[in-house]
Amino acid sequence: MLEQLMINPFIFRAIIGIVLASFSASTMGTFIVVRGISFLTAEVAHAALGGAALGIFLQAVGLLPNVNPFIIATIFAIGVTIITGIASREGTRKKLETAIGAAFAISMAMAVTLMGIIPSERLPEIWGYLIGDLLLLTYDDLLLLATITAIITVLTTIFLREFLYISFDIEGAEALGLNSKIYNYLMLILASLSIVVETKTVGSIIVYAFMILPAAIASQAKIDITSIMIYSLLISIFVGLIGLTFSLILNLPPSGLIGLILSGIYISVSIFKKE
Amino acid sequence: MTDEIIIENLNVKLNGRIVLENINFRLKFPRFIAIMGPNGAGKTTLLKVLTGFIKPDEGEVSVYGLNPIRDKFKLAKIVGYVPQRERIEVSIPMKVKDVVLMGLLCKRRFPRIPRRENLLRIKKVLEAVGIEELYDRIFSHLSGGEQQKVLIARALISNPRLLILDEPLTAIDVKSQWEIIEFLKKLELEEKIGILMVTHDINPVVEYVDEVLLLNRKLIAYGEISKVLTEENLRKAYGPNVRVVTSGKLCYAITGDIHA
Repeated sequence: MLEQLMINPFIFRAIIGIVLASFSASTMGTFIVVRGISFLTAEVAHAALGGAALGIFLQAVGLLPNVNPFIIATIFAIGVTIITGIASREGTRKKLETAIGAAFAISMAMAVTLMGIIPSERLPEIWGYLIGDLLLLTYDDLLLLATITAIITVLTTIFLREFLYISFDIEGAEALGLNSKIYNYLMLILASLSIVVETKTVGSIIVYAFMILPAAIASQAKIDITSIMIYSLLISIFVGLIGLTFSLILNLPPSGLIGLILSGIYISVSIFKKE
Repeated sequence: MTDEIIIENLNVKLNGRIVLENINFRLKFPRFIAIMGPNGAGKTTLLKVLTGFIKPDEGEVSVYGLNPIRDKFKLAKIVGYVPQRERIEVSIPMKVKDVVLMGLLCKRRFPRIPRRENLLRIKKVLEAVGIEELYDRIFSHLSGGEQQKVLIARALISNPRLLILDEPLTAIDVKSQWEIIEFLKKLELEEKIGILMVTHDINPVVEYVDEVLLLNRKLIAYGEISKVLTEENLRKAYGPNVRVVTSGKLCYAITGDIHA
């Protein structure tokens, strides 16, 4: 098995993909969980799907032939996040929910419509964003994922204290003198980048599980935020590798298995904690 | 820089609804002043205007000579703000010392790295508030009264000249209410720190506040408590059908639970 892992480039790239995705999920996933903004995950993942469809379409018709659809997906996802951030800060709850609903509708409508126009040989790429393509990651994908993960990890480390303060008490932090608006948008952008990375690796359907559940499991231990991040990272890598291994043995999609294992752990921990 | 809050012709609309209308007053500090009014009276909105969170639609606002919107970060250096406790995200696992440290580091430029003397200062301010034993405890594990005291310590750590508190007595036990009010009065008298506090329940503070500002979208009355809490003013603020009881020189409005 180990030999197979080492010599099979698909499996090797999948392992690297899991590790990279785990880093971005553990940093931003932790803040998404503790701030209670997990809706952002579903919204951004769908926006990434719509954006990827747009990118593939623009590439297919020759308008942006050399631009990786992943970049279009990222830009689209960040745009949606910023609009949501504005709605959440300056509007009512109703306005925020409408903005999220509209973003969902636009993203999915665009993806479905473009799937009817895009050449059929490129449709699997869109399906890759929907159900994940861990085993189909290319070295170019990995380079992009590594770059984004490095950006997320470095910036989160640098601004950890500021992110912690605005998550704890955004209003108080601003009144105390912190420019919480800037840090809030920076954090939302990093979170959306992280979600796009996850969408590329595990797919928009399972991204919710991969992004939220490791941090949700770790946060049950009532430890400080850095420890939650570290435990969340270890859980993501461990479950990711277990899921990949079982997917190879059982010939099932890895992202689905990863989601199932994480859900199982989360439910077990929740029940055990109550008892 | 005068220790005054001056508001002239203030009008604020939120989502198309008038929340504050033609408000005018001048508050002189250091004094202990309570802002009172029914739910939806615009009390918290007024505090948000004073701290620069909300830009008025019309009117002039000056807090200790500063414009809260234009001079927001200068204002943060002289004003300590204690938000409503329910706005704090308690699921964030922060220790008391880190919550109080936030009061110092938010005022600094990046990189916000704590110094050794800051930790001594945290211990000192926790001691002043009477909760030094909570230094290493997780904020969310504390009682409501203890959490409120931690938030007051956070606001005090940078030596403010004015302390603005939004409903600090809500959902905490009576003993903690008294301890907090007595501590605030001590700050006013001994440290000469101005206290501006929003409260829907005047009963615990009635003997401590110097002046009351009664609000219901419009300014109903402002001045000494005995002159403001009259039957006429309370009916204007809480509606003509509110039950008003008199005790000594003061009137109290009974609105479901014991409010004033």
